[in-house]
Amino acid sequence: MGRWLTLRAAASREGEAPAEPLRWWKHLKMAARGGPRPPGAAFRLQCHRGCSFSMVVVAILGGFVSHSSCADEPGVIRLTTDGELKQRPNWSPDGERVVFARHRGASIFLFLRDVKSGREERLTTQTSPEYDAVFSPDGKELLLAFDKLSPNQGDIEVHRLALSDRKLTPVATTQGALSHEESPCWSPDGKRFAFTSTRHGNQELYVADIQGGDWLRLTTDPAIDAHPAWSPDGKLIAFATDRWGDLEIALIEPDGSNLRRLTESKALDDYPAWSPDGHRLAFTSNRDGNLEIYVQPLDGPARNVTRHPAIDKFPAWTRDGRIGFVSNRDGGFELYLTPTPIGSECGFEVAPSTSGEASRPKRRNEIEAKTRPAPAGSQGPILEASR
Amino acid sequence: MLSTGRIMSRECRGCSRRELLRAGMLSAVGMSLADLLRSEAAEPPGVVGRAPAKSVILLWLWGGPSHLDSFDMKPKSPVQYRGPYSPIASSVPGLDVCELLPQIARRAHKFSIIRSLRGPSNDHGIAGTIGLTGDIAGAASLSGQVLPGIVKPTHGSIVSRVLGVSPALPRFLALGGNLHQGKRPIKGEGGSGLGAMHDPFRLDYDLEHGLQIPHLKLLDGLSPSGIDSRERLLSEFDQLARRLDRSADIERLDQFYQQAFSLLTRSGAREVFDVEREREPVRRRFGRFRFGQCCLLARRLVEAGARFVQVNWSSHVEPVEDGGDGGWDMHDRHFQQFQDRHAWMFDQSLAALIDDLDERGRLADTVVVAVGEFGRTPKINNKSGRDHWEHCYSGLVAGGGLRAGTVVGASDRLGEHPVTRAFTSADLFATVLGQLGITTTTLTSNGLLPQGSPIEELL
Repeated sequence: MGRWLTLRAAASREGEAPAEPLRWWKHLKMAARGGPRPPGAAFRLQCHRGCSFSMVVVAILGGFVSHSSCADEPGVIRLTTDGELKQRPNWSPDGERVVFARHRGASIFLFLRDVKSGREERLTTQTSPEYDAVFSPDGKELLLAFDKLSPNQGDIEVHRLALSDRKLTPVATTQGALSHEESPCWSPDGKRFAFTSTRHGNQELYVADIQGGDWLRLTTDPAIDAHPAWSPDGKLIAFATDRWGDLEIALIEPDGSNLRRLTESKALDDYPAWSPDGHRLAFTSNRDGNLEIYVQPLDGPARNVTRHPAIDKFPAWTRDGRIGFVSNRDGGFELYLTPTPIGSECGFEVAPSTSGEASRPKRRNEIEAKTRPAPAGSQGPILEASR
Repeated sequence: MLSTGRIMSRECRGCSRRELLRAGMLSAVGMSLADLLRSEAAEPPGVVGRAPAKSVILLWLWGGPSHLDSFDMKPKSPVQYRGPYSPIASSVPGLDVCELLPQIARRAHKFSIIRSLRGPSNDHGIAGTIGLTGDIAGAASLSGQVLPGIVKPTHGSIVSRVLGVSPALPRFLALGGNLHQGKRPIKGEGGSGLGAMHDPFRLDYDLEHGLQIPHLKLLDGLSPSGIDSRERLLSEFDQLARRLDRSADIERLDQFYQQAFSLLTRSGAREVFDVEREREPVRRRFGRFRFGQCCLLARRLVEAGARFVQVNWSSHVEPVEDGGDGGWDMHDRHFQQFQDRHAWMFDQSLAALIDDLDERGRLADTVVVAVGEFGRTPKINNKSGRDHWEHCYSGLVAGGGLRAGTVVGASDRLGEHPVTRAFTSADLFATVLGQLGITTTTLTSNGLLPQGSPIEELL
């Protein structure tokens, strides 16, 4: 916790005239930066991805104590606003829809959301809890997990759902015993899927053909293996496991061979998700003490791409390389999407106008924001927000 | 938003007895006149001397949280026991907690952990009764078996009885619905032999409906501004009750409900219940979910003079996956649920509650207790879950003059049994009530049987 000072500041790229400020303001931890500066003072700010900005203090709005330890990411796009807990978003291959689980009262149901219009619908009409839905490679079907209620408590099955008629077909079940079949993911050719099951007395990784036959058990460790993700080239399955102590990301080939460790942190690494090019994995980690989204190439170190004091988790890539995730940075747990593909130079870029801009939900800094006249010495309006 | 519920009436000119009971008067009408007279015959002696604490907030973690995944981790135990999470250092050297509770970890110097709690039953119904009353008498099991004896009053009811009924605000309030195991309600949530007036005044809050007052579920669509007319309705109820029972019990009942109406008709009292009056940063700090907002409401209530506020994590032991409303009874998908929901909710809300009380100067005189009815099996079951475990579990206490930044008791290497002196929930609440000045002497002079012994290490 530290003493923070709320500033309204005009920012521009290093070396550029501050006459064209980027339209955002920030909370700055002044104590760590040499103390408060009066309006008009200029200073440099380096974002966490290394880009430098020239800052001009426009006004000191007040001071408060905050738990925050880093800056906002003004470009992150907020998709939902209802505040209810959401889990495991998954984008359709065309990027136009996202499916996710939402907790509402004493229920967990899957919802399908049109990204541009914001229209939502329940994916099924089932009354049992449902979650972990993932689009097929062609976007026409989904795999999802159903949790059958009493008298079958603890019996979870993987079903296949056709979007055309919403017909459900069970593809991974265990007869005669209560067991969990869940966390499904498709192979890139759409012919197989990986999932976890407890049918043999411990949560292990399996693959099966998409009709539900030809089960192959991939892991046999007394540890918990969870959340498989099939690589775009079909050669690897990433998953989370605690066999080495805490949860780490591991890789295994779809025939169960060549299991190896990807992450090695003294922290929780979970929910792996492959980038569209298959070169990197996004995952949730609390290695810096807070749950964030990290991205790690198969042969390099992990990088924190969210850097926010709130909880960020459940990463899911869009086909164009952006990352969707769930965060409580605005209070409730909402869906967010990075405005640009991860890997671009700077996360501080304000999202450029696109065809979807008009209907795009407001970013965090825009919430409760109003446009005010530009201060003297700058051009254009500056957003002021309250929090 | 303030909602006060509904009633379904068959006759427009009056109410049937069933409707009367539905209106929340069942327990009161059902109690004997002797009970009532005994409880009201004498003024309670109250508390003699200066007590360190004024209030208690009990966070009742219904369903049984896992001690191995929260406050008593065993990272060196076999993989079949330890679970996937690691301990992290806290603000107190040697007091490690689960990595999923980072905010709580940073406040370890403000609370203490008891790692050697133990109970006699792994049945939610029985263990719940023991946890809330300190005694097994009258408890009902999952199968419906009722144990011998009369159910003892719950801790909040004892506080209400000893400290006396307040005309301004109930002494004992419970946030959340009646506790259940499956569809079976548990015993021991109320005043029992002390009488219905020492039952908790029950409230609830959720994001969708706002504040709920189940006691006053009388009429559809009634707004706070319509409370006055409901008071008249209450008078009708009471007249009806008198006709039905010809009993003086109703006279006392009338006072109980008059108090409720009084609370709601006085604007100042209504404000106490209205968490929406809090600034948005404060509401966010506690968490924009039911438990978080109930913790905030609890703080408002103790600040307004309530002496015992019980916040029920859920009404049902079962998590949503098992048809419940998010309880801690995670026999399967344990780690998934703990990681994705329970842990961060608990972490955020408890940390906010401790900080908020501290910043307002109220942590010193408010005891915060976070505990469930038992722990969970150290060995992970074959559904990636943990089952009931009464032999050893953990609880947290903060504030109210109790020692902070310490660990009391210890368990063995697998977390299966205490290796130091075991404490019961009765010991825990003897300690807590003692901080309110309610001692063995106070209890006996009120005709109550003391349960347990204070935990000296916390004093």
